[in-house]
Amino acid sequence: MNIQIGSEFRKLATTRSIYAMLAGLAAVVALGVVAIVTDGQPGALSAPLERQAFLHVSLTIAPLFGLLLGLRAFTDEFRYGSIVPTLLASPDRRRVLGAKLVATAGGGIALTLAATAVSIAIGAPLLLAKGVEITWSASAMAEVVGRLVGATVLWTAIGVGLGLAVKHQVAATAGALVWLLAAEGIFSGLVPNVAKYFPGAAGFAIVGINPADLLTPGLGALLLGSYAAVAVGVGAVLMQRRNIT
Amino acid sequence: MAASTTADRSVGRAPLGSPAISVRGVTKRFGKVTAVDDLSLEVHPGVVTGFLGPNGAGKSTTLRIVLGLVAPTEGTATVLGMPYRSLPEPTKTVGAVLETQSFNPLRSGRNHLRVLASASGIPQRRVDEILELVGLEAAARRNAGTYSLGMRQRLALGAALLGDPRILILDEPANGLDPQGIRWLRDFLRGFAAEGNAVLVSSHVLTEMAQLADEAIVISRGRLVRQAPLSQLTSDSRELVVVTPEAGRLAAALHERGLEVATKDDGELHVTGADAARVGMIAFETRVPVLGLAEKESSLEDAFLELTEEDAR
Repeated sequence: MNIQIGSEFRKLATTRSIYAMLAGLAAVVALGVVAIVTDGQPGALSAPLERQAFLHVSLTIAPLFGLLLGLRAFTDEFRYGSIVPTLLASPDRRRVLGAKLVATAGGGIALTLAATAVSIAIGAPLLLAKGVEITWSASAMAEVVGRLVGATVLWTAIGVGLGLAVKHQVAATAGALVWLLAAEGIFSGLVPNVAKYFPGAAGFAIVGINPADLLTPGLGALLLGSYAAVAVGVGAVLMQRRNIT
Repeated sequence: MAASTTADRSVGRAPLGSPAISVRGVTKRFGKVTAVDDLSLEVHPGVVTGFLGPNGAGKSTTLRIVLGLVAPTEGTATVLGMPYRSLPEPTKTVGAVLETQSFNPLRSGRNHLRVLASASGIPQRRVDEILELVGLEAAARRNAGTYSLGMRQRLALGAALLGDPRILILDEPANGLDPQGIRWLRDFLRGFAAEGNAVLVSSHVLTEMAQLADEAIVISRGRLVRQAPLSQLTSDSRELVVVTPEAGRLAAALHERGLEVATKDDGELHVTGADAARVGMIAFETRVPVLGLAEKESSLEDAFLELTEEDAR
């Protein structure tokens, strides 16, 4: 199993588009942080660092990039046919799935830490420039980052499972984005009572966005974890039977 | 390209079990389509076995069943007596080239091999050996998406050889190779088989196969048509073209000796069932001048068409 995990990490590290994703994430986060801090009212800006509104950019974007990373784990291989040499080297398909879950989780953690680092590296100097005195608590900051890491890792697993089940990269990615960016909002309006149980809402609950309307972070993690388990389970069952032609 | 780096490695290796590959009563149905129909065949070490059949005959499906990528509807396929998925170190036992495009185009050829090496627990230095073996050192750090068809084939072959396997399974490997590449492949496969290893190589291009294989397995519509040495396959329908100013006399003499002779409009004789030496001797005994004596090049193709057409009827 360690061999497969090593191979999957090497795959991640040698795909150039991963670095493009990382650069894209950094750029989006940087822009968002600049916009929020320059717009921010002095009262709001005086919050401790871990509760700064500019951190919301990472809290929203990093899990989404984690999902995209997960979606690519198998759909790239189906798209380019590299699934054949992968399965010839590791015929145990569940083991390949396990290795990909571990490697993309690692990638997701890297994305999360990068997004947080960029936020603070840009946000903190901007605050200082506006004359805001920065206060922060290391333990509170660790909790924010920890929750974000947890949410992102669950999203990568959802992506891996969904990509494995759907197989087709564009279909899987478009489907996931349409749900998260449009459909979930529409359905939330139609059936507000169940809205907090949707995956996007569960993810926000974990990182603590809109706490009043959503589940507690623990319940959110449990629910998003269940979505991930279903996605991975369905993907695994389909993969076990699939003919690689 | 150096033709044999496996040679020094395989010295002193235990003999490969036989059959190296065994397919028994395999049927594969995709919905209503039967791709492979109660097929049985064996591949033995020491020879290059050609897997012949028209497009859509079920060659690729059969190879994928052997490699555990496609599950058969019925029957079993084993490698050294074991299903591929149960092999403890599959890529160190079997190397396979199934299709040219099996890599991420944005990853370099070298990194592609490094990923595969690490998936099989093969040391990374083997990657550079392989790049040299298949002649890709110069392009190793370029994205594989920029490779020509022939380079892609070499990369795929390199991936198959990474684990220094004893069995090679190649699906249409000569596609896109230039004549030097095909010659190199032939020499390589011959040398590989001569070391006691097994090779199963599919193709629908018969002239290619005539150069590559010793043994032939012919399938059509998913069924086995013939498994025989390639030479036997062609000799059954070998045709000699004889050019002579005295076609009538020679035809009569050949006919007398039990050979099948057809006289063409231009005076050429087409003789079936004998080699050039025998026909030459008969002409000499009959005192008929021979101006040209040649084996018809398409004889394997004829044999193949004959075999697969019979089946189609």
